[in-house]
Amino acid sequence: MIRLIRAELFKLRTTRMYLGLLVAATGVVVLVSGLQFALGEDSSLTIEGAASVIETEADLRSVLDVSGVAVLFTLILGATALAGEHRHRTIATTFLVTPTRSRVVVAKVAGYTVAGAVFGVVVEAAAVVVAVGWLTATGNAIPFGSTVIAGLALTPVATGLAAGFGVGIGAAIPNQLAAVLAGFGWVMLAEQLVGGLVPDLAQWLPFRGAGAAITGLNPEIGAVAGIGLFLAYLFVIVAVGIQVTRRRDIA
Amino acid sequence: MKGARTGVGIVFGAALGLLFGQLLFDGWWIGPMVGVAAGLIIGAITDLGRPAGALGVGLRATTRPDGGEAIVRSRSRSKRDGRAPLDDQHDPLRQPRTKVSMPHPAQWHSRPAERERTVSATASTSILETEPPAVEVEHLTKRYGATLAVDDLSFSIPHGTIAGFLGPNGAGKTTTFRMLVGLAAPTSGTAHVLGEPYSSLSDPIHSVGAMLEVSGHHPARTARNHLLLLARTAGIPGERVNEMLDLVELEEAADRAVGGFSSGMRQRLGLAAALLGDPGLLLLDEPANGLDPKGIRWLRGFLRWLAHENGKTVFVSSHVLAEVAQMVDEVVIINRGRLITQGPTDTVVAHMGRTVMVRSPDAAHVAKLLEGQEVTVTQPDDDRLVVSGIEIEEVGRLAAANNVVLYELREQGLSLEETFLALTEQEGES
Repeated sequence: MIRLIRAELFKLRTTRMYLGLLVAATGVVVLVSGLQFALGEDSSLTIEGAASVIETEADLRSVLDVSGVAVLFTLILGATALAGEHRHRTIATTFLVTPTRSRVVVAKVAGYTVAGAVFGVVVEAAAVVVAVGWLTATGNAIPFGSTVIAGLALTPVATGLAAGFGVGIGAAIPNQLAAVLAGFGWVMLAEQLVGGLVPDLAQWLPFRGAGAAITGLNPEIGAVAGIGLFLAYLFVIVAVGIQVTRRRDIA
Repeated sequence: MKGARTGVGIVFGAALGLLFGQLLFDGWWIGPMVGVAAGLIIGAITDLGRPAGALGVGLRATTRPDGGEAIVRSRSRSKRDGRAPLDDQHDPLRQPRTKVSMPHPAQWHSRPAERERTVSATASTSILETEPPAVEVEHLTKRYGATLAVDDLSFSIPHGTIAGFLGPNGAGKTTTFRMLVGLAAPTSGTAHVLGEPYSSLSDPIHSVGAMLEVSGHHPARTARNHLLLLARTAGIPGERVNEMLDLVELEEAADRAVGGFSSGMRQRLGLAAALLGDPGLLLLDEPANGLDPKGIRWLRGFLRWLAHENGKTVFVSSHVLAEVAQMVDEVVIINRGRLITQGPTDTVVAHMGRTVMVRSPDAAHVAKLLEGQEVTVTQPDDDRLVVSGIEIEEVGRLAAANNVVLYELREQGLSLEETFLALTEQEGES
């Protein structure tokens, strides 16, 4: 299994998808957190819940949480894991080497979770560089402590798990475009709709609820329980993905 | 397997327990306690073979999908499976029966293209008595909706043979190959390689090398990385990748993205991938597709070299008979998903019978004389007839009895090409 997971990481290194998404996510985070600092209180762009003046650790963490947007990117990355192999028809070769398809799916979930966590670290590092740079340049003190550390530690967990969740979506929906749209649609549309219609349910949804809890935006659940809830969703979607992948003929 | 289930049960139970423990009780420490307790319970339940609803199905799926027999097999081989990659190279059980040595490709053509079966052929005879055929298909059927792609197909390929899988486009060759390597599930019947379903092989890439039309390459990945990826997955050392690139004459293009490759180069990369694990059985689906005449000649020499010099069993499909006619010992001819004939190439041609060629200024009259008999008569020219289903002596007597002048009367054999066309056309008409 370790060999299979390593092979998945090798696959990611030898194509441009990972790097492309990483550059895009880093760009978005640098842009948004840069604007956040530059426009400060006057900004209508300020992110909900983010502090406009950095005085406390919580203020700094709220700004660094911008990197949580990477969750959407790693979700898409994960969705292309199996669907992308179907698209480029490399899936036949993959299953020829490893005929037990469930092992392939599990290896992808594990590999992409690791890759997604690394993704989160890089994006977060960019956010930290912007924040520290701005605070230093403007002569402000940097409020650094356990709250900030907790925030820094949890974002990669969220991006990693989102990537694994994406693999599950891609396994259940083998068409790459459909899988990516399903990932987007789920986070941006379905969860917003369900959350809007049934507000009490919002905090239990995979991304608005559990994912937000991990990155600290859903204090009602808390990070640890958020991870547990997200893992439960992850298990379900991966189980569905495995069933679909096992039954499907490779054309 | 029990231990794995318990582990997964604990992890999953702990996750759920953490969640609900955190929510229902005040105090963070209660969560983990409830979690571990829940995990142990779930682990115990799954170990008893009673999966907990949808979760259980998912967990079992991650272990082994093929049911009891397959589990027993995997256990019996677990020692080998557990080895470190480098050890595999020294494991005699993992080594294929023959090893490809690496002469320069130019040598393929310089070697005589002898048909005689050397060591491998003699060996295969004895292997046959104890081992199942290299490829064995029994009552194989595949239905897509209303379309019957493969229809009750049965044939087998002995070890050490180079066999052609022939049929027009759409005959069901690719579907059969896909079922042989587990990429498609048969509607009914069985498709076995080396005596078992492909998915049950403990070490597929070292046992069977497959090059299928359905397998592609990521356009952004280089040829070397494509092979390295397979090698790493299967625990094959990187040097083998370089050897294969050299063997298929792709070493110069090895670090270019496959997206820019010609179809011939892709086919060669596919061959390199199939040979990577040095398997004893090669399944090649239309390997000559997209090759120019030079490429086809290269391929023919290469396959002949693999089979005759390295004792590999090669099962190669084609819809163009000329591509494989000169090199196959056995043929399996199918059309519309059904078997038309199978056997040694010579026997199949002989079975089609010989034809009698008659040249006469009065050919039309001879044709008329033959009417009413159970023969097939074709008239390629005004003065020539080709008759099958009759002895040459009988034609001679018939002509003499009716005072017809004959310029030429001779027996001729059908070429494999003609046999193939005749067989598939007959089937098409029926």
